[in-house]
Amino acid sequence: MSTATLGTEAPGLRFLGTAVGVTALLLVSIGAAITLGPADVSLVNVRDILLNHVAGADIPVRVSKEAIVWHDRLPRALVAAACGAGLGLCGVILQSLLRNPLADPYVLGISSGASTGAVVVAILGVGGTAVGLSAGAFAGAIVSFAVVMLISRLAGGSDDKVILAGIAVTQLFSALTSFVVFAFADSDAARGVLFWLLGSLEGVRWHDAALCGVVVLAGVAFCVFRAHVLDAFAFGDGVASSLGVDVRRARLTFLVVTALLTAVMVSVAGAIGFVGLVLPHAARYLTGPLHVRLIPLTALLGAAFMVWVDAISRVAFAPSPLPIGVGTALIGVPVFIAIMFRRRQAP
Amino acid sequence: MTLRTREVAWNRGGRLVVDGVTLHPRPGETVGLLGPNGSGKSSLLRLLSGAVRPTRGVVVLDDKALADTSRREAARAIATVTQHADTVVDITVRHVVALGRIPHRGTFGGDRRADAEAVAGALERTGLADKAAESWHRLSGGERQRVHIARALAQEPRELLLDEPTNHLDIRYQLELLRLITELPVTTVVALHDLNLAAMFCDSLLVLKDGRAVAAGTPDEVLTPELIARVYEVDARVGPDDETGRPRVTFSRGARTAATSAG
Repeated sequence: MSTATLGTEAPGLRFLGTAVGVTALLLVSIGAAITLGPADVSLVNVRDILLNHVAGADIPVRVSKEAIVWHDRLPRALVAAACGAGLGLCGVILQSLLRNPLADPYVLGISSGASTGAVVVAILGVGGTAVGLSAGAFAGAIVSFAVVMLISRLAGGSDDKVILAGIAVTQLFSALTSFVVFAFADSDAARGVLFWLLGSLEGVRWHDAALCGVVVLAGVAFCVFRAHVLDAFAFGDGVASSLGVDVRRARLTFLVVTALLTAVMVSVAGAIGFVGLVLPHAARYLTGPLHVRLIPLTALLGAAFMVWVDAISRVAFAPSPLPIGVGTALIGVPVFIAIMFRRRQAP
Repeated sequence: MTLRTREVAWNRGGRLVVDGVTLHPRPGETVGLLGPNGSGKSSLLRLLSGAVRPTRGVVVLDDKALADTSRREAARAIATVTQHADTVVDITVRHVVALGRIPHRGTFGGDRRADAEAVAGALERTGLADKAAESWHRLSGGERQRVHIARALAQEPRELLLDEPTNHLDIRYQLELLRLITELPVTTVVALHDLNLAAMFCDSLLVLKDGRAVAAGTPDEVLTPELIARVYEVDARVGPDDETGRPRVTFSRGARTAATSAG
């Protein structure tokens, strides 16, 4: 792929090493996260249960542990990993297309829009199937992003205007979500609002893991395949066009991919902030700006990161769970500020 | 075979910034675009690059309207260096130059060896080989301009479009750059401010004023005191250069005389 244009072999090996290392970290993280929680489960238990289910082994394990690991903690860890990877991927795409290191689906209001869309479907409309929720979330994501682009263009279209417009739209759609939940839902309204605004992986099951996993893997594969297009945007639309990129079509394609990923993740896990903002920067630090490497590494790092944030928010105030967005925001906001300061100092 | 325009015009937001310009370079020659600020040089280059579509007339690449050519196909033939293309990405010189290989990728990637050779060659030609690992954000304005030209060379185009590439450059690099461009086996259209550099390096000149072509031909034919007075509204003397025999323009420091300002 475009790594060839490097013309040197050593960085390729280093990237491979980094990728293998982060993959190992992810697998260990998932295994370790499963052992955390009120019910006592050891790594040996996890291994035995996995062998029983995946390899058809017949190792005796207590039924309660089996139920906890197989029906609760494992799918939950996998959803966390998929969401971390997907949010990181969305961050990479948006930061490249908008040429703004602060861009991510949450900051730009896409997650809030998706929340509103999903809430409208869940409470007012046509049944609450996972696909129905995702479709509503997708519509909301597209609408909110269109509004952000419209506002920022009307305000002059500079890089900073996109972020300002995103902040306004985030507030608007968060308020809409709260309004719909409080006005039309029943007594559990307050908890529902927390889920949609801050995210939660409480009660996710295998079908959620399957939906997130398939969509995120497809998204990563597509973006790795089209990684050079994201590279071409480094110097703006004009240079991208002179490098043979159909700018309008590329923009539309990638933004639809972003909206789709965000919609699926929001419909399963609510709006989780700052993962998409922070992880691409961490990955760039490890492997540089070439997207063919940046995308898989961001996805892997994001997955490992989210598995840990979810595990910690699960056990920190057990038995009452912390919304997962609280943890990501506590880490993400200082990084957001640090990037803003660094940009100020840049020439 | 080459890129050319026929009676091309561009109405940009109600203003005719290019108005019926025909440009037909011979293959391999260097065409200088002259004219004051706002005369339409950049706009004509944008039309030639296919970045915008003409309101009237046609831009033709290889006997086919550029508007009907895919962006990728066009990018394999035409490379463009615009002014002030900057990035927020922390990227090395080598990676910027390697961007020029994007139009040559197949569906599953590029030809590694051809890519590496093109990038190395472009770095060498622009004197950037020892800066390949340097970060873009550490470069001076002139160095950045050279990196963009190296990126355009890595694109291995047949047509090269440059919008005032000598801006921000020390005189040494201005000369080196123009020498490099004229020696390349590609057709080049370059917008220039400096009439003497244009006379020294260009095979032919096209002079624009208010979007219209007011003169075209060899430097000898085009650069006359009358034309300079008409287009730039300054007085100048023109004589052959001792070394090259090309026209050399010397500007008059005084106020304009009545005789020439009437033209």
